[in-house]
Amino acid sequence: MNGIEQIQFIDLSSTSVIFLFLVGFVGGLVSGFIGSGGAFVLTPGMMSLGVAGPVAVASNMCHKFPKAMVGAYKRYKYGQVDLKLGLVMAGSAILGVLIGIRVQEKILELWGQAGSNLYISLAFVVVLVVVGSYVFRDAMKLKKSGAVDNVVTKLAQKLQSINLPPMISFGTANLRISLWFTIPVGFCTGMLAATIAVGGFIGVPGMMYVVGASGLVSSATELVIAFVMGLGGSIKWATIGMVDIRLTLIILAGSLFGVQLGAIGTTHVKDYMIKFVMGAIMLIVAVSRGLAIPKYLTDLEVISLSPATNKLLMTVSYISMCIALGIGALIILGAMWKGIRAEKAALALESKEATYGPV
Amino acid sequence: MLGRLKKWKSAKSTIVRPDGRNIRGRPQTFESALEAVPLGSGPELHDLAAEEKLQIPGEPRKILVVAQGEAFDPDEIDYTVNLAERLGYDIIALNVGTPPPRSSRFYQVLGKPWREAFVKRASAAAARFQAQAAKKGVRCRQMVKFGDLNKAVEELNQEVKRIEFMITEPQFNKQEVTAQVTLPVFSLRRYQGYQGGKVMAKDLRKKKMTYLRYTIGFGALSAVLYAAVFTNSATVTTYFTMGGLYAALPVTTALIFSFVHGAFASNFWSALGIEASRKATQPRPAARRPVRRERPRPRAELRA
Repeated sequence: MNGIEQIQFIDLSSTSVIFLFLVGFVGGLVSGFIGSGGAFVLTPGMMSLGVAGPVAVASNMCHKFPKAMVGAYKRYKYGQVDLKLGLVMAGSAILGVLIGIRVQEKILELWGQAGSNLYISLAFVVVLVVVGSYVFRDAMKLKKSGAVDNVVTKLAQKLQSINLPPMISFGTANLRISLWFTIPVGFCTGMLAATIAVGGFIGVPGMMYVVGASGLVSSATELVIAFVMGLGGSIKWATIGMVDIRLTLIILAGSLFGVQLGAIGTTHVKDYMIKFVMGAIMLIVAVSRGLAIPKYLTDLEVISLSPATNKLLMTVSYISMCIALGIGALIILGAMWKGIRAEKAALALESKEATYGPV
Repeated sequence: MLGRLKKWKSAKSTIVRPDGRNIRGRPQTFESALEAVPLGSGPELHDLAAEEKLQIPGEPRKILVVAQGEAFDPDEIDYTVNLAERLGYDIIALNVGTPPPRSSRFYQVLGKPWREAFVKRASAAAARFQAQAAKKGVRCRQMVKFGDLNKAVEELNQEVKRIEFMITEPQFNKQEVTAQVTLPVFSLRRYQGYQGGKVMAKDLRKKKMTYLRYTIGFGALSAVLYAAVFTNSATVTTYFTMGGLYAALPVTTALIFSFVHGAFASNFWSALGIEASRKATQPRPAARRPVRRERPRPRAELRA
């Protein structure tokens, strides 16, 4: 690919600008809150506006790393980012990305574009259903039990107790674990990022349930990983001239508002809320990608469906993906609103007590 | 008969403190000393309540706070009142005035009015001390003496019983005081440049105005940057997609926009009043503390 010669950049209409800005905002809000997200809607969204696939991926990637940087900085200020954990994970994630791309290329070579699409959708569905349902169940359990602090899983406790050098202490995450157990988590994050563009769906649950960090720290640390991977990816795509900076900047305009709001939101909610939002989004996205599978199967001539049915399924799939993001954003805003109100009420009571004595 | 005896006993041994709590076993006679100090004339070392010899059994223990001049140091007041509350002691606040030499013309003519004025000013200054003490249920009695500080303290120590120790102002010379006083002397030490000093709460409205100013500033800058890119989009797209080393262009641009537009967005939310929860923000794990960490308030050190 030689960039400009082959790729036609689209003309921007005001509708598409508003659409990109809004999706950027909502995507930013979700990723500021759960550490990732938004990309899965943005890439197909841009493609639906007529942007070529590689340009959509490249422009999306180029908006992702500055957004992640701003989000990570904001959450670092709140004391939620474990920089060391983020960098260790990012190191192994890069390895995962490289191998993930290789796997993709191999599949493309063997089964063509439809095979590749099917692989991506299957990866989406399997990973999101398995991990998403676990995260969601855990969030519901935590909500019911009313636990305020992070509950470390038995798996994480077991892994932390194994003394396999080099052992690393992570200050903010408040844990000590062997490097050998963080590497697979980072690696899988990278693999998933290379496959479905949202590594956080493995990275965040991996840090929560395998490494043993809290939801708050995991989602914040994921932003560091997203920054490192996004920067690497952006440089790679930019060297072949695929980044449409106009698209990047429009999305960035919305997402920088969103990511900061999402980061602020994490300070107003309980830890399980992050898991709740993440689980909910993952499950809805899984359904969305599941709806796209019949089309790829038809392309591979495994089943036969009418083009109209396929088109309908794809539309429903995309709409449900937008719904996933929308629901995530609504839960975040709702929880945040509640949190801010509760805090204001507590502050008012406090000042009243300071003036008049216990009320 | 038994009832009357009980009534008498309870009247003698119970004092209700200003905060409503009862103190058992404290004599009531001290209450009168809380009033303004009477002024007398006579000897050079002049105890204004000398006639009151407090030698009752169960006499409360006292902390002596000395100020050279009419005013007490606010940190000294804070520290002493808190300490007295914790220990259940009373406080004697002593102002020592240093009049001009006796032989001078000024003393002969204006000595008495000067002392009267000093006592007035000292009483006014001590009122704050007493008010603060009263809030915590600590009894505070003020006394004024003139002349040499050490002699004044020594004399007071003879007159008033059960003074346990003495607290002096930060600026007191250690050797000067400790050499002649037969009491344990604590002097407050105030650190300069301490960590986490008293930070005044910022005016909320002022803070919001600052955010608003930044929002407008960064917003304008961001708008200029966006306008620059989109009015020249053809040129920008051509150069930004040339690949190779030109890859630095989109990456750097994205970073610059994230700084400017990010600052705009951040101030925008703050100006709207949407900020992180103060309670929920987890403090970053504390860095290793330096061996000697200065404290944000004055502390007493024994110089006996």
